[in-house]
Amino acid sequence: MTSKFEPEIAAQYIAATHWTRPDPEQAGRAARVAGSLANTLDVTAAESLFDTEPDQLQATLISLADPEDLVNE
Amino acid sequence: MSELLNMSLVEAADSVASGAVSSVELTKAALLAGESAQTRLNCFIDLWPERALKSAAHADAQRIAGASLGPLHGVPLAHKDMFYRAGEISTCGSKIRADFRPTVTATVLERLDSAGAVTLGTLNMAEFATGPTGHNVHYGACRNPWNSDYITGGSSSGSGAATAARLVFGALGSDTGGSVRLPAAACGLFGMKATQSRVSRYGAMGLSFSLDNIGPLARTARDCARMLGVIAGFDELDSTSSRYPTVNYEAATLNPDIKGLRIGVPRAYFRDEADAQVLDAADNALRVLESLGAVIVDVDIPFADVMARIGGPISGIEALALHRAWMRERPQDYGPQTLARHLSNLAVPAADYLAAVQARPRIIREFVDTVFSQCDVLQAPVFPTAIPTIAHTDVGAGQGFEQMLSALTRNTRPFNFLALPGLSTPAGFCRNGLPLSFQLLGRPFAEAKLLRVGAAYEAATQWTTAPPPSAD
Repeated sequence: MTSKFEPEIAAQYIAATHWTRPDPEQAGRAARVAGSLANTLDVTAAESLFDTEPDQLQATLISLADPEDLVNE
Repeated sequence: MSELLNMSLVEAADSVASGAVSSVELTKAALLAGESAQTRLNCFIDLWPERALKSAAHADAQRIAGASLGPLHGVPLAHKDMFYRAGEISTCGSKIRADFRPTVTATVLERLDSAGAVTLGTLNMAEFATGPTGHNVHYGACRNPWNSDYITGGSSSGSGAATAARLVFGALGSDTGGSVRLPAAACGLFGMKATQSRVSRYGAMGLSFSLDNIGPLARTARDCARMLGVIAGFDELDSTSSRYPTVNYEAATLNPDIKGLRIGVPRAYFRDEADAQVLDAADNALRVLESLGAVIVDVDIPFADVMARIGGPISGIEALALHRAWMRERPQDYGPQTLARHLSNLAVPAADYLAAVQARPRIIREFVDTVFSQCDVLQAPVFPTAIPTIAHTDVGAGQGFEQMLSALTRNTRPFNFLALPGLSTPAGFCRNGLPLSFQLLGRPFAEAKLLRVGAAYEAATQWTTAPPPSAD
């Protein structure tokens, strides 16, 4: 899925509406999500938008997991 | 009801594997019970007797031939009608998809098939998985087997009703704001919403790609664990499914020991609007867990002031994105509640959505660090009140619906945003005979620990052994 939204446009939009300018990484992620949402207008619910799911969420979950939960009981 | 159907899923699988009962016998009994219960409970959208019996006969032939048998070999199941099976209609509980035949099969169904399960048909659900009660204007309300005047919970309404009524041995549902845990709670079942990304969503109807989860509803913790063990794990067809290792969930439910485990009681939010019966059930459960060796601790809850709204922009906007074309072209084919929810989401600013997505990892980290430094497992009510009637919750599409939606799901929605695992656990019965429940929440990927606690409580209380009156 390709995005037509540039990170700079996303950064300007967030700065204008939230009075805080995101860093380049945040702006890039915002652009990806916004672009993917725009692209969904022509797809049906049969298709997934999963490639917009930030890797950051997965990294966060793994970092917060307790290694002891990996031990088979 | 045939006594065969009162077995647990594990007992049924063991009986088929040993030859004590055939899959055909089980499947015939389930089909007969399903057809008989349909007018009373309306839990099936479609029954597939010929296909199911053929599948059961194949399962029996495999056993006789000495084939290697999967953990669900020959066991009749059915699932919410939103998991695609190539060539078979998947209505998603909607008129819009009344004739939709997908070209792919959901990974969760592929895995259940590989484990030997027999599929009886498809189960009722809220239209496009958008309602917490079990109402459906297109296919009719699904009814609670404990008392058919009462809601099943939703959106996986048929999954709750069919499993509780002993028509199937377990069922899959989906949970975007509580849709596995709520029907499990209303119908007296275990229901697992695993950690976000633990179960593949490939080939399942999407509602909110950030918050959607697929999970099992079953009568015992061990049944729930066995189903989770079959469907959990990385799937190369779903790029968001986690590569984090799975464990033997079922083993956690055998001889469960919770000595020294810290069970947290939330000091804020999750008990604030609970009624007396719900709090009594939660407190009674805590006393049982304490008697089993757990340590009960009060726990501070961060973000309590925003918990009710957390994640709202994400679920609303992502659903809107998926439905916008149909809303333009076929608005008349939506039920009024579903359409009203999507229309209200048009007013959510994109910036709110983006802000929520951006803040999510930070909020998850702070919540987990705060809560799970104080306890190992958090306990909270699922429904804040006793299960309401179908008539009482038949409130149309106006402001009353929004208020009801917020009230019924206030304790489940936050954990979809937080991406954390939750296990709905049966906890007895209200004065009106409807089930009571609580949920157990844990760190990311702590599903086995939740199942261990649920199994320990189940063994001490036996709330899940008696069938509902309608199954007699």
